[in-house]
Amino acid sequence: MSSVQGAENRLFEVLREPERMAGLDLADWDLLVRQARTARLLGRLAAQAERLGLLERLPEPVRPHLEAAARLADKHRAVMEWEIRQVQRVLGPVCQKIVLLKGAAYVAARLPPATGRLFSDLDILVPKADLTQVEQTLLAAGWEPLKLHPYDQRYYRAWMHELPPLEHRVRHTTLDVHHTILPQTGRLHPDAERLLADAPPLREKPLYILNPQDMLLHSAAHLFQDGQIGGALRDLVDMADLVRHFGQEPGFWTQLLGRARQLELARPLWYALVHLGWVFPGLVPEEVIREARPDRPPWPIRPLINLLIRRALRPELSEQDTWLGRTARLMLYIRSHWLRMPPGLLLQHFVHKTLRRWRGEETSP
Amino acid sequence: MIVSECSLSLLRRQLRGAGLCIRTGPFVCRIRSRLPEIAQLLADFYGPFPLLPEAPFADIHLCIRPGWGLRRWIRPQVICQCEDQIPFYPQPRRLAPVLLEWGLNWAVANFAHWFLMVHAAVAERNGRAVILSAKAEAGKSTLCAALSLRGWRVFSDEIALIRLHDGQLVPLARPICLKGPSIELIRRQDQQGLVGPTWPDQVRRGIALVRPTAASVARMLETAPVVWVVFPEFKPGSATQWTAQSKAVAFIRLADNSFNYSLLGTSGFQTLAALLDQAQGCYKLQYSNLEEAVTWLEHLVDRSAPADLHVSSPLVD
Repeated sequence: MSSVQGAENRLFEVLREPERMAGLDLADWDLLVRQARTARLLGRLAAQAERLGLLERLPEPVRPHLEAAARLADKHRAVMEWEIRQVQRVLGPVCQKIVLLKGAAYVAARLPPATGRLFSDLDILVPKADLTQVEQTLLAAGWEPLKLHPYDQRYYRAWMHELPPLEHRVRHTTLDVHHTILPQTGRLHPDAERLLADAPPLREKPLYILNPQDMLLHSAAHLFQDGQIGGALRDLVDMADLVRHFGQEPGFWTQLLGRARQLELARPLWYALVHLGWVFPGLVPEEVIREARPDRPPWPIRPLINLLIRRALRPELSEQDTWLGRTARLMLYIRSHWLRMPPGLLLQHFVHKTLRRWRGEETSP
Repeated sequence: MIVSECSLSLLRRQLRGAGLCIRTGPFVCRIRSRLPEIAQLLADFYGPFPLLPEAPFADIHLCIRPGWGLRRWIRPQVICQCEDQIPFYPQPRRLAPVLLEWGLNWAVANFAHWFLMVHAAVAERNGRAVILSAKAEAGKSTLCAALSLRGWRVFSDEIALIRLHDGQLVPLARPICLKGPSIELIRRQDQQGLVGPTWPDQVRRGIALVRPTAASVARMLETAPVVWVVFPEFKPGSATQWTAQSKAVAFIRLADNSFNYSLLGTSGFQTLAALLDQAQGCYKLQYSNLEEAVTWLEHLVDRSAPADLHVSSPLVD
């Protein structure tokens, strides 16, 4: 039987070396399937088992779970491809440049993180000048705002980096239209114009993706600055795939740090590099981490935040959850809000949200 | 070993510890709970089910736990947790058994994509199975319970499990969940004591579980081909009326009632096509008299033709 400690490493283990799936017994899988499903990584394991020709060698009761996860991932990919085509069709005539972000970019550019991945929404980045036109066009074409409360509308428009999320009336898919990649009220202000200017085009006009460095930096900013810590391990796995893929290209590592500093994203990059190195030893060249050191946070913030992030990355099921794990997630949640807004605004936001919750209204941002 | 052979204290110990594993149809379910009544519930409703004390791997992991904070003690609630998700709102503690059923159904519908799953009841007699497919409130469970009392083997009152590619129906063999006035209707016909107690519930006007028959459980690994597809509709005051449906229309309706038809893509289409190719025919059935509807279904399965009941007339579409 697997201890919590051993099992925790097992998901890390098979993420590092998928060949190891062949050696696991049923008791290992009993925990691994649940951990991977909770971390939204089961489809990825399934794809890797398939690619390595391992599926036939896995214990019989496990196979259907992996096959089901693969089917679910196929469906997600098909939906994503369809949504990208719809956005291209609708926005093509009114927008010169639509940059696909995160999952959408991985799918459209056929990048490794797309393999076996689940997608929750379609994220695009458009020039801020086009925002009004883009929104009007989408509203006319069947998308509707998900958040109707005037406060939420204002919250997004005045402070966030995106329009209030839109949902398609018929297909119920969510579309996030960004004009930059971090909240306007936050501490860091990556220059969206630079991101847009350096984005390479896809074959399908007018779709673009971020350049390799920016793609990694956006993922790092999303995870370590904007604090979407819930799916932390999956986001880190995305980054590991990107690094493996683009790390081969000449100049990727040498340009990365300069670009990060230019975009004010050197701090989140440092966190990303360190934790990539923690989960995937040897993935990030030592000298890159060394060169990023000037941008690391000062003591005692550094060890504290690192400890919390490591906790949050561990694939713990709630039955194994400890107060330490819960505290870590809570503190990271607080940190993400701290980084998102100045203290006065945060207080005001908190009071508003609490009042609405008391009145029994639905809240979420 | 089966559940009823096991002492309550042993069941309780397993529920509290690593979990108690039972097999229901193709699934191994591991249930954990610190609530003492769950052991009682399993002994009561899952008596003939195989217990798998050493099962290293479970398909479904479910935990029934007390409500958050004060709701543990004051107007106590229960929560159903499946892996790391909580699919339903907390329920009053007396409904823990119902929550367990919902949880198991939810887990099957969300994870078991190696089956095509349709929102339908399935029952079989003499190796010939009928799919009763409808959305909620059409009387699927009531019909299913009545058929069960008359010796039919019930596969499921909620989810038709259709094996991919060959379209065979796979039993789930679990308790049936009755609501409102149908509980007393079924209880009146129940001579074997299959219907459990009625738990008060305002929204659904009472809930009760019907135990699966020993035969349903003993033969839960035996699949069956579909013979008829029926779309029942309970309509107060109506006569028992039916009309034949083309397989094409039935296809669309089953796909529409499916939980994962679109997710399965091509294999979903092929499986549903294989299923309907095997079916002898499809009917829409409108009824208000349960007795008549059941007689009609028995006639259909035994004689391979819809009954020529004197009270009935073909339904005009």
